[in-house]
Amino acid sequence: MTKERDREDMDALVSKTYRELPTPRAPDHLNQTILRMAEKKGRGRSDFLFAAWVKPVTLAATIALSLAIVLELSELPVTSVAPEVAPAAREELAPQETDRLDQAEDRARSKLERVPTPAGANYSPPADKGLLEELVLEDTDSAKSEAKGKIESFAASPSAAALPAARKRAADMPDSNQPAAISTVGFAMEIGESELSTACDERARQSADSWLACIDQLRESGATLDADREYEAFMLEYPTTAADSESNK
Amino acid sequence: MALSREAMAHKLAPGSAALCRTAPLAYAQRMGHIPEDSALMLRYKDGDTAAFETLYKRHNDALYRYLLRLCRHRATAEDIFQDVWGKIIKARSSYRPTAKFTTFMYCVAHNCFIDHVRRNKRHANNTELEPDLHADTSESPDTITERSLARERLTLALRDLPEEQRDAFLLYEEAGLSIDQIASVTGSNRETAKSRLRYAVNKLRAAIEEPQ
Repeated sequence: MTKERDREDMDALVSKTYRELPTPRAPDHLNQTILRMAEKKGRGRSDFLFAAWVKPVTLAATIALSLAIVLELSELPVTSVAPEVAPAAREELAPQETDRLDQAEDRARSKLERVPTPAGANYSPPADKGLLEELVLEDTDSAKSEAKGKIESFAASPSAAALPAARKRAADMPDSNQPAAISTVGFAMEIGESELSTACDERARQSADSWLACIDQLRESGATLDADREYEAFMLEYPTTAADSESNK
Repeated sequence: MALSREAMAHKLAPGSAALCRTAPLAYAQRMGHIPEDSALMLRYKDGDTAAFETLYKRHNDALYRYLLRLCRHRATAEDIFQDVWGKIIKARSSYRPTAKFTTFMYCVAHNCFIDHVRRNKRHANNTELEPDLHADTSESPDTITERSLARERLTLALRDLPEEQRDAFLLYEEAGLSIDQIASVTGSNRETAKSRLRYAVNKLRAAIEEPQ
């Protein structure tokens, strides 16, 4: 009814004239383009349906992947990264430390070898060994003080004559070298008791000539190791004479 | 030639619901059946491309003429024509037969035209004269001349109408929409649509009856 009333409002002449106007048709190329587009889009499922399952699946996959990465990272041991750094650090530190320890060992060994054996005393290396062993094992200040007490008790033994000189030499050593010296003592124990004993007695060491004569005798008797060790001690004690008597070597 | 605020506010948005907001088709709900055009669109939604071809061939020429006379420029009309069908194809998945398909289609076309006007302000100067090829040889020469002049005047008057009035007239005559449907397509109320149509018809009649 509304449409009929609307139609009455329209002018019949205007409508008739408009109907007589030319009626252009949609171009064929447009028709083909649009129908081809419609066929292409309509062949598959609609975008809406595609998005309906692709989006949730994509979201779920992203969340799952993120969780997996987080869990994987959280389960990795912390030390797994450290070995990558540690060798470099060790390489930097090792040469310095090793050199320092080597020097300290050499110094301590020579000082130990230079401890005079009391003349005529019944020197008891095993007692010294026990003492030294404890010194090696106890590398703390308290252990050092305890060891001092043991050294004092050792003064009563036949080897007590050698103790003051050894104590004096130990006191001369800088504190920083003490642990190294103690470890050097341990090293000295490892090389054997015979190597700790001096081949030339105190009387032979009283003068450079007699010490060199003793070294020659040792060398002639075939005890070359003892001779070498004595010569090293001799070099420390008489460096200028040692240079002159290089031919003894 | 400025568009009304109502027409401007009738924006094009994604999805068929936003492409054209039309009131639910009352008689379709009452009768409990789906209009044929809508049924074809629903079949195309399910992948039946032949249904779309039928639908397209049913409406393509009328839509083309509507756009050609609304734009007054053939190339522009062709661009908008392709754009309109592209949007209809894209909106198939969310299409719901809440209104006549033609209302939905012309709503999309109207919005595409508004977008074009906004994008290209020089649209008003792009006019092409449409040759009058509709000469009926069965009439007498005087009648032919008189009718031909009337068509020419109508064509010129239609071209000079304000866009809102031309749009209302074309939607009524070419698309066959009612006042209510025109109001729905243009995003205006019924009285505004009716007023625009009445102004357009009066101007066109005056142009046709203009004494030589």
